[in-house]
This record gives sequence, C-alpha cells and structure tokens, in this order.
Amino acid sequence: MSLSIFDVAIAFGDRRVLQGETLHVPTASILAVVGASGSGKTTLLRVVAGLERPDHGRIEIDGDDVTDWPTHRRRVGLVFQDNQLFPHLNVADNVAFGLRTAGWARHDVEHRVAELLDAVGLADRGDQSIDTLSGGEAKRVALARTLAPMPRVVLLDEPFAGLDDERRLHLAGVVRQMLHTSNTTALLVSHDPSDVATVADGIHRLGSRESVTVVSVPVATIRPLRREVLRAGMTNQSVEFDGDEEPDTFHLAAFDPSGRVLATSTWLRRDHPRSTGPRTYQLRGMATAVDQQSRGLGARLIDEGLTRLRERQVDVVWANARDAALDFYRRQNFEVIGDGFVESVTGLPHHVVMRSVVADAGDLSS
Amino acid sequence: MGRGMARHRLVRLPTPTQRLAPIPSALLVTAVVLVPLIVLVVETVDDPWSVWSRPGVGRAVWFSVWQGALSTLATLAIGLVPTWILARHPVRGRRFLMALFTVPFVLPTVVVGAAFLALLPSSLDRSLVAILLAHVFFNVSVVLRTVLPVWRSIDEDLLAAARTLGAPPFQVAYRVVWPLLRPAIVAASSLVFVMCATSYGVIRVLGSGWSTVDVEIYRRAVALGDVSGAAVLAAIQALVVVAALAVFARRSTEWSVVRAAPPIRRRRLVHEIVVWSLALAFVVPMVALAVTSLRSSTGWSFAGWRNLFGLADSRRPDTRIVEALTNSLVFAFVAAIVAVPAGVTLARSAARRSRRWLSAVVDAPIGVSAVAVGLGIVITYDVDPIDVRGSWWLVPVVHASVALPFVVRSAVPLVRSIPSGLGEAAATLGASPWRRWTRVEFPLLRPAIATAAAFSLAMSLGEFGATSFLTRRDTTTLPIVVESLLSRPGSLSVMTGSAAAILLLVATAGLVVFVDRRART
Repeated sequence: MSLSIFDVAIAFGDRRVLQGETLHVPTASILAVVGASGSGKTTLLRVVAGLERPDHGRIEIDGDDVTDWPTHRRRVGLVFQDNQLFPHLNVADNVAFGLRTAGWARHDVEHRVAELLDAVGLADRGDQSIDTLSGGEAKRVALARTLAPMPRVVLLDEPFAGLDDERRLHLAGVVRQMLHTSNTTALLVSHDPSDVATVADGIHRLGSRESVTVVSVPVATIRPLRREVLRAGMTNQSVEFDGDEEPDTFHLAAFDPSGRVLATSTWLRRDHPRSTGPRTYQLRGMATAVDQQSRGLGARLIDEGLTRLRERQVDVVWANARDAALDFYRRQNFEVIGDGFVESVTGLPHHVVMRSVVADAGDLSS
Repeated sequence: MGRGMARHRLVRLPTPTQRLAPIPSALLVTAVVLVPLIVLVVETVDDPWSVWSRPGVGRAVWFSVWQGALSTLATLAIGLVPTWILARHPVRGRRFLMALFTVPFVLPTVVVGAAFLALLPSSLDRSLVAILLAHVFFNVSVVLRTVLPVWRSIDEDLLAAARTLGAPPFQVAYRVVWPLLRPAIVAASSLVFVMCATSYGVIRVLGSGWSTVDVEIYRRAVALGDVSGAAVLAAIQALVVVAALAVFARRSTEWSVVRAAPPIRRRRLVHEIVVWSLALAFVVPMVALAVTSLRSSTGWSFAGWRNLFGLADSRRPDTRIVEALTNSLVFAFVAAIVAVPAGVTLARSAARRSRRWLSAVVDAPIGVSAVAVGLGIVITYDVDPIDVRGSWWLVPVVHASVALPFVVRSAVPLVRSIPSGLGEAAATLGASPWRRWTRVEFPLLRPAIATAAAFSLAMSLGEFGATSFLTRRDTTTLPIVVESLLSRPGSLSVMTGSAAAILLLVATAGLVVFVDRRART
C-alpha cells in the first residue's frame, strides 16, 4: 500500500499553490509533509484524496494511477483538521459510516466499531452525541472513523493542532501506535517539527524540489532493501546484521517517487574503545545503488541519521569504512581513527571513522 | 452545529422583566384573535356535530387537505431547485435572485391572484392549475427562507469526509445532506401546507367553484347566513393548524438573513440557466399584470392608472380608490407602530429561550381564519363600553396581530446574531441604563427593527381576509378595492384593479427587498 505523488501542480486562479511536488511514501510508513502555512500542505492532501483535481501530475496508490478516480473509490482516508464529524450521528455511527458505505454486515460493523473505540480509549462513549466530546476526543473519533474501513492510505491534516502539550503527546502516541499496528501507509501534514519527530518516519519539505524520500523503515523491510542496494541483488550473502532487531536500532532508506529503493543505512547503539556508553552509535550498511552514485544520497542519509541521533542526544557516531569510501566519510566530517585493518567478511581493507554528532566539524581530540 | 468542541454555557434564569416582556404581545393576539373566536363559537353554536352534514362542508375540508398536500409537494419540488443552487453554487446576480425568490411571500394574496388572472389563458383561468401555480409562486419563498440558510451552513468538507469514507454521491445526499436538512424541510413543508390549506385570497380571486375551509367559512357566514357553521369550522381549523405548527415547525421556521459566502466552486452554466429560467417564470406573472393594467379593449391606455389616482375623465370618478390608498398607508403605519415593538420583544424572548405556549399563541393568527377574526370581533366587541367596531384603529390592530407571526420569524435570527455581553461591557465602562439602551442595545437591534417594520408594513398593506369584514365604506383598503374591481365586468375596472395591484406589489416588494438588503450590511 505505497503512495506515490509525481510532479503534482495546482493553481487556484492566479495563485499557484503546488508547483511540481514529488514524493513517495513506502508501505506502512508515516511521512510528514512540513511547510509554512499557506504553502499548500492541505491542498496536497486534498489532491491525494481526490477532492481537488491537479492541473498537472499524477497520483499512484500501489501502482494504480488513481488521478482520475472519484474520491469515494480511492479508499483514501482523510482526518480533517476540524474533524468534520457528522453532527447528526452519534460517536459509534460516525465510526461506522465508512463500514456501512462498504456494505459490511451489521455484526461485523458492531465488532469493528467496538474494536476501534477501544483502541482510541473511548469504548464506553459510543452512543454519545459528538457535542459531548472534547477537542482531543473528537480527534480520536475522527481517527477511528478514518481507520475503520481499512483505507489504503491515511491522510492526516494537522492532527495535533489546538491541543495542549500533554494531550498532544498522548494523541501522537495513539496515532503512531494505531497506524503502525495496522501497517497503514500515512501522509501527515504539520507545521510543528515536534509532531513530526514523535510520529513520522520521514519528512518531506514542501516546495523543496527534493524527489527522493528518506524514511525510517522496520527491520522486516530493511533486509530486502539491503539485498537490493548493498549486495546488489546477490542472494548468497547475508543481509542480517547483529543488533538489527534491538529496540535502539533504526534503519533509514531512500526511495525514488516510484518506490524504488536507492540507498540504505542502519544505526545501532554500539560502543567503540575510544567512546563508550549510551551516547555512542555505530553506522552500518551504508550503501547506494550502483547507478545512483554521486547524487548526494549518502550525504542525505547521513544528515537524516544525524538529525535522529541528535533527538536521542547521542554524542558520537562511528563506522568501519572501506578504504575506497574514506573520501566520502571525510567529506561528511568524519575523522579517520587509528590503523587500518582487513575486515573478515568482505576481505577488504577498512578504517574506523568517527565524528561528533553535535558539532559540524569532526573534532574528537578532546 | 457541533464542531467537536464541547460547549457548556451557563444560562442565567431570565429576570422578571425579561420573563414578563412578551406578555403584552401575547395579550394583543389573545384579545384580537383568540377571544373573538371563542366568543363566536360560544355565542352561535348549539349543535357542533350537525355542521358536518351541511352541504359543502365535507367537500371544502377534503379540498383543503388534498389541495394543500398537492400545493406543498409542488412547492417543494420547484422550490428546492433554486434553494439548492443558491445555497451551494456561485451564480451571477445572486442578490437579485434571492430578492426575487424571497419576496412573493409578502405580496398581497389579491395581487398574486390578479397576476395569475392576467397571465393565464382564459381556459386555465379560475382552474385548479391556476390555484396550484399561485400557491407555488407564493410559497417557494418559505422554502427558500427556511431551508437555504441550513443548506448553506453545511460545510463542504463534511460532504468531502463522507466521500473519503467511500460514499458515492447518492449516499452523500441520502446519508448526510438529507438528515441535516430534514428538520428545515419538515418545518417549511408544514408551514407551506398550512398556508395553502387555509388559502383564502387566492381562491377568492382565482378559484370559482373551489372552496377551502377558509372560503367555506366565508360562504357560510356571508352568503348563507350560517354563522354557527362558520364558527365551528373556524375553531376546528385553528386548533388543527396551531397544533400542527407547534409540532412540526417549532424550531426551524426562523427566517435567517444569509451572511455566509457560498462555497468556492467553479461557476456552472447549467446552474445559471436553471435558476434564471425559474426567475423568469417568477417575473412573468408580474409583467402580465403590468400589461393588463395598460391594455384596454381598444389598445394601450393609461386610463386604469389615471382612474387609480382619481384623475379619471370618466363620468363617475371613483373617489373611493384614492381614499383606499390613503387608508392603506395610514393603517400600515399604525400597524407597524403596534407590531414592531411587540414583534421585537417576542423575538428577543424567543432568541433566548423558545417557549412553546408562547409561540403557539403568537402563531394563532396563521391558523385562525381571517374571516372568523373579522366576524368574531364584530360579535365580541359590540357592547358599550367596549364597542370598538367603529374605531379607526381596529383595522390596523388586527393587521398587526395577523402580521405578528411573520414579523417574529423574520426578526429572531437578527436578534440572535447580536453578541451578548455588550450591554454588560458598557456597564463596566460606566454607562447608565438609559445610555446603554440608546448607545448599545438600540443600535444593535436596529436591523431587527427595520426588518420587523418592513414585514409589518408589507403584510398590513396586503391584508385582505379580516379587512374585508371590518371595513366600512369610509375605511376601505387597497386590496379590497383590487378584489372588487377585478370581479366587476368592464375593461376599465380590470385595468384599474391591475394598476392598483401593481402599486401594492411595488410597495410591498420594495419594502422587503430594501430592508433585507440594509439588514445584511
């Protein structure tokens, strides 16, 4: 259930709102779209949902070109910024709306509604009027209503706007949990970077003309991607690293708009003799597809990785670098440490490289 | 409409002044409409059951019901089209269209009757088709005024939400739009049904051979001298109508002045063609009326208009007409002086809290046959010291109470849109009660007062039923003159009647259009 947006442009009269936006959301990932207010974030979601017709470009869901499909056939869920709950229906009937349009049997509808209301913590509120809901509760009902019919893609428009910090953190947890347990592909719009950090797997800056999307992916996803990029499709070599499944580990992958993986990397909590403790990470499996070299994708992955390390308050990151890659790491402000060695798995000469996460320069002498 | 946020507002109990404020208005309606009806029944009726066996009664009741139902269906079928287009789509000339579609309700019944008489070929004159067309023409404005604000208030994104949940257009209409519109449509339909089932002026002008209950009341009381039969019919009709309005139309027959902009959509030619064609159909009867006023048996002529203003060179100059014109204006002015304070007070009270008994009393004039009101007043207030039958102010006071239900309906939304707490804010700034009233509350109420005045003036100018009973030779009004001129043979009287009808049309429509526009800004 991946979503691809190709070169989408739309104008309202003379006002050009989107000017050739391109991005890809891999299956089961949550991508955040950020941008100033008025930059067309909401419009992008409305184009994906089929509520606005783009002047140019196309939308694909799982490879289906849905650009000309009517909204009701797309199976794209949209959580509106102001929820848009149906005022004439109670909480349970709001959640059941999409199930009834899809023709679910009455028993299944009841079961699914109960399941979702339970998941959003409103299990006993089903027969209440939506007027009785607080802002956060209404948002959770809107989320449950959107997820109920199991849409192929979920769109969230500023889902945490207008909530106080405590509620926003709680809701962000609920959203992330629900999207991930249901393996839902999601596009989230926000102007607040902290929303993005807590919920999203990756960020797309609107108007950046960046067509490659970097997202963190689960371990089950990274392994086939590694085979494709790192091992160039070779099936006889292992794509499993020690510590892949540790809770502190994260995997980054870069995709082109059609969903092809271009580069991968894995970041694990690992000590180095020069730096020990929880604030040291190792970078492994850093690779770019053969035909995508020197497009700056490696640098992009390292930038994204460093951003995440800063959020985790990590100080130092290090890697075992092939000698051929030393120039690349030096350009990324890594410093070569100690003598070289030959790695047992690949038989190639390597060096340890290391850099500070906080500072831009790789000054590790202190 | 709930937008997710819980709204818990503390509402203070009304102060004694607020509680008692609507009492005088209620007393006015009681004295002018309810007491006369009760006296009429008590004084004249011995055996209420025998009424049903009298010839014509059953037929009139049955005609009222089926004709009312048919007129209501036709009005909805035709009225919901421009309502939908004007509520949801951008259209060129929307302000003109809104005015055109909302104004017919205040037009005098005799004017509408005269217009359709002028328009239709003689084969359709005075037929059922003519009656239905006139009722549709009248009541489309009720549908528009009641349903359009609700329809427009439906957020486009709410419909979008339904579509993202997989609902195709038909389901969006059936599962979202219809449930949200239903209360307004039910309220509009019940009011339209009541207006058509109790139709009097239109039938008198257009429908020889057909009788509604209202017309039957008139026939019994005047032509047959069966006052007790008329009284029984009037009482039953009043009970049924007031009960029906209280049940079906209690909330949504407030007539909002629409402020919100229509949703941003692309303009579609097909919408404009449909809505402008309907507009044309609405203009045609009025044009026909104008043509009739200028067309004598020999050719074009201003004779009708000259006659109207007493400039006629005919052998018997009709001075009655100029008098009627003056009377109409004076009555309308006096009626407004009574109805505006009463209506605005009631609107303020209703805007705070709807009280069913109060709205039932205020709505009573809609249900009580105007003929019965006239007759009841004649019978009730005939003893000294309350023999008021000859008083010049009787007619305008009756006009005021007949207009009251509509004056209130038009003023409530304007009163409700006034932000609360401004008077209190002024008090904290040191304003005395008098200063608060003159500087804050009165200026805020001005749009409501203006609208109330326009409705009151228009309805008084056009009132026909009760007036036809209460007028004497020297207190006749323009609608009475129109009716009598049009029922007289001879092209000059038809021309003069049509000219008078045009005058009424311009005055009433002009008032309401002008004020509606002022109130909006």
